Amino acid sequence: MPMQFDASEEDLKVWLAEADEQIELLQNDVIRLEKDYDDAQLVAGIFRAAHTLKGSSAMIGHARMAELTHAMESVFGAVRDGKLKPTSDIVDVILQGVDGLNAFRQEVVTKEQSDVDLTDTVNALHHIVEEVGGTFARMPGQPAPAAAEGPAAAPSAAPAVAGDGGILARLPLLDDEREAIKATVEAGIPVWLVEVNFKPDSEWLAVRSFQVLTDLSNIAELLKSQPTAEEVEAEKVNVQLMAVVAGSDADKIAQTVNSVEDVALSRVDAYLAAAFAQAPAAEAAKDLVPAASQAPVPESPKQLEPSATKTPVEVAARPPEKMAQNVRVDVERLDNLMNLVGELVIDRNRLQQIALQLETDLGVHDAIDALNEAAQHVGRITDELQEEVMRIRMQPIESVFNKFPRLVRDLARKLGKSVDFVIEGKETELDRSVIEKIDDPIIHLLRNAVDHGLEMPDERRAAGKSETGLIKLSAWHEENHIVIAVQDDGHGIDPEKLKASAVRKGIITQEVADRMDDRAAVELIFAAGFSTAAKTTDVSGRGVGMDIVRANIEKLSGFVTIETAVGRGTRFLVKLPLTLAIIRALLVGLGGQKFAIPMATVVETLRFEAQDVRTIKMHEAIQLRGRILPLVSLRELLRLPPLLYPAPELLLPAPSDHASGSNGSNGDGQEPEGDQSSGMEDMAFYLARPRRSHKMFVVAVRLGDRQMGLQVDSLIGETEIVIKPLSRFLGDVRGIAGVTILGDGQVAIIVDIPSLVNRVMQEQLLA
Amino acid sequence: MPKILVVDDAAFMRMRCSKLLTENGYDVVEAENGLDAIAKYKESKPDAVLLDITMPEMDGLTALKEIRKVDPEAKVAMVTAMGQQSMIMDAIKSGAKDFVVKPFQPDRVLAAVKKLVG
Repeated sequence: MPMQFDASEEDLKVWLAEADEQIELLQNDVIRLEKDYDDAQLVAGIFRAAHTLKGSSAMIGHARMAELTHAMESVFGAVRDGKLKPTSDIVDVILQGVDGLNAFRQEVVTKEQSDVDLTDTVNALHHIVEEVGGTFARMPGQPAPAAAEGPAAAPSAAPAVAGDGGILARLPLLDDEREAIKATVEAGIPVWLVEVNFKPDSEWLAVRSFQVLTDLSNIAELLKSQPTAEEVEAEKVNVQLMAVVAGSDADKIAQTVNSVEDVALSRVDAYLAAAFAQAPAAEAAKDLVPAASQAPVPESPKQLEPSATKTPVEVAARPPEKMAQNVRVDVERLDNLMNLVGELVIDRNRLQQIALQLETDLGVHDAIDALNEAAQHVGRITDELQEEVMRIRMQPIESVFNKFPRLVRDLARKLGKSVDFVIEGKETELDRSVIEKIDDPIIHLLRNAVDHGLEMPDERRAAGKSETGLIKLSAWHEENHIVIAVQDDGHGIDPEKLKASAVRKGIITQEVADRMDDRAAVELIFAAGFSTAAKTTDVSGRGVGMDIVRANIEKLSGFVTIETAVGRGTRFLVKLPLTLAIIRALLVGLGGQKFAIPMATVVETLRFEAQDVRTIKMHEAIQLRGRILPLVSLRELLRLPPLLYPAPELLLPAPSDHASGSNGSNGDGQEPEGDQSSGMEDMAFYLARPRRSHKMFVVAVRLGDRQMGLQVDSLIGETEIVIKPLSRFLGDVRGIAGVTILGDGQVAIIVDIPSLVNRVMQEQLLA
Repeated sequence: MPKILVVDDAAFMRMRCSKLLTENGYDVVEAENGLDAIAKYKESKPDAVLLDITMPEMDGLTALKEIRKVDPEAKVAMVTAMGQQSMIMDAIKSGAKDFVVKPFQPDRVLAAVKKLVG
């Protein structure tokens, strides 16, 4: 069913942004209620969020949402007032409500009513409040409760008396009241009978009545009213109010009363001496409304006066607090801005190259100096601009972390485990581009920690641990990276069990397992198709294993490592770059084409003589400061045609054994490279895979704690690049993370190191 | 042009209210909580104030009292939600002239403001 909201599209955007903020606050903080229900600030914040949502959802006409938030607010109110202790069951109901809010919020986006029905939840919330003796204010649209019994149900049947409009007949006076009025009249002060009728649809009669009494007290002396001020404050009111006041004049009184909103009709009559004769009628009425009549007439309006007129010293002395000036910006605009800055970075690089080129070609010249200076200035400004924009895009990781307490809580409850979930460092900032993509891997790690990491309470007890397990999620900065750690104090990962399991599943052979050290064995958890849980639960799901988690993290140019101790727990460390938009990269050449290797993965660059290459266990490697660095050719990894030198005098076909000295990474069912270079053969190129006499360049790259040497044709230099995704026509190309435009206008291909290195590792493991 | 100070922590409400008032020939100053409201009141001396009750930093009732200390003649209408009837009575005790219940009718807001300013 389509829905319509009482707001323009633009307005709805603001509405949504704000609603999201409040819903998120509820999501994060409601869980904390179980433990911290006596934290006044926490409860006040939660109450306020529900309250704001109630107001704004009613404002756009989302009745179901308003009704739900109203019910939630009442529950929070009861908690705040100390009437209600939020048990896990109550929090469950509230969380249902929070989920409902998300659904209702979505309706505002889609303009379609979802089939989400929260009647039960709303009723349950009402029930929770009613149980502790709370009441609900009526929502607009809800049926009004049966007409409030109150003193105002005065008998209107009493005969009208000339001169007072029958007011006195309905406003019985006590003897002493009559005496007081008489004395006032005799003292020459005019006494007025005031009758006020409110509009029947007036929203809050009590407040309106209160306003009338307050305003009357401000200009005259209130001798009597019906209902009395106390009754009004107790909300015992009716559409009619009557009062006797002394002083002022009829016009002023009428004006005062009529200035109150929702007053439909009023009359002001002079209190005539003749009225004293009406005592019998008044007496008759008195019996019908004893409570009203005997209620004391309010004191002189002292306390009703504005607490005003003191000198404003207290306020003035406090310096006005500076409020942070914030502007909401559409995320899309920020992305655009980042893109533009990216373009500028490219142009800056280009400008600097042109200046350099001119200097090389033309020698020293004033104009070139000036250009250089300008280029440098532009460069500096661009750097600053880039930094600023980056800073704007930085967000605390909080927005991601905040989803997790609920996840962990629900999971633990489902599994019958008891978990203390601690979050540290949620203020740690990182770029939007990364934030958007990290929740999946973290969710998976957390699920694993609850499901597989922590033992059941009885197991924990048997092991001499506290029944409540601890899961800690923390984040911190380390150089240009953010590190996210998921830690549990569960049973840890047993390398022997992992090995046995991997052998059983055919992931490794017994022989490989036997010579595998513990560290490598633990890493097996990341092998494709591996899962240590004896059975798949609906918690950790099916299909998505740690291999996917690692792949996703590596897609973000990050890496994940494990530390574990049997019986004591496990810690997963995820290290990610702060941004994915602009990165530093090492440019290398393969033939005429330039490739960019993200600096985050580069350890060092090396130059070797080809004869230094060893073959160890069928794989090429070089010895570097006493350790072995496996060596692969980037050219071969990317399935590029082998290096060719034009050799027109040698009309030889490409030798088929060109890869004989290589690492055999092409033995995985891919087409042999010879086919890809078949076009070249016709052009009579001569294949020259670097042989023993060649110098070769190697880039040592790192992935987690594994390293590998990538052999390239040439090293070009380091630069900042802006990652442009590959066109959709190309889709996901393995081994290529994107492209970038260089300062000289050339396009460089960004190498996806994680996927390449993993492929090699996988192949070598299988070999 | 009469100047109205609109105080609400909810940006959406603020925007709605400001828009309505601006379209009807008022000059609008916004504040997002009680503390802010006091500062803005001193700074811009508005002709009337629309003051939300439930706000962080400083709630509307406290702000009302503070504003009335700064200016005993301050013309303030409370903006409120269902269920806050007793708070409004407190507000009226403290010198509020009127109130508007959320979700408000534009006519109702304009009438209230007109009355405050007039």
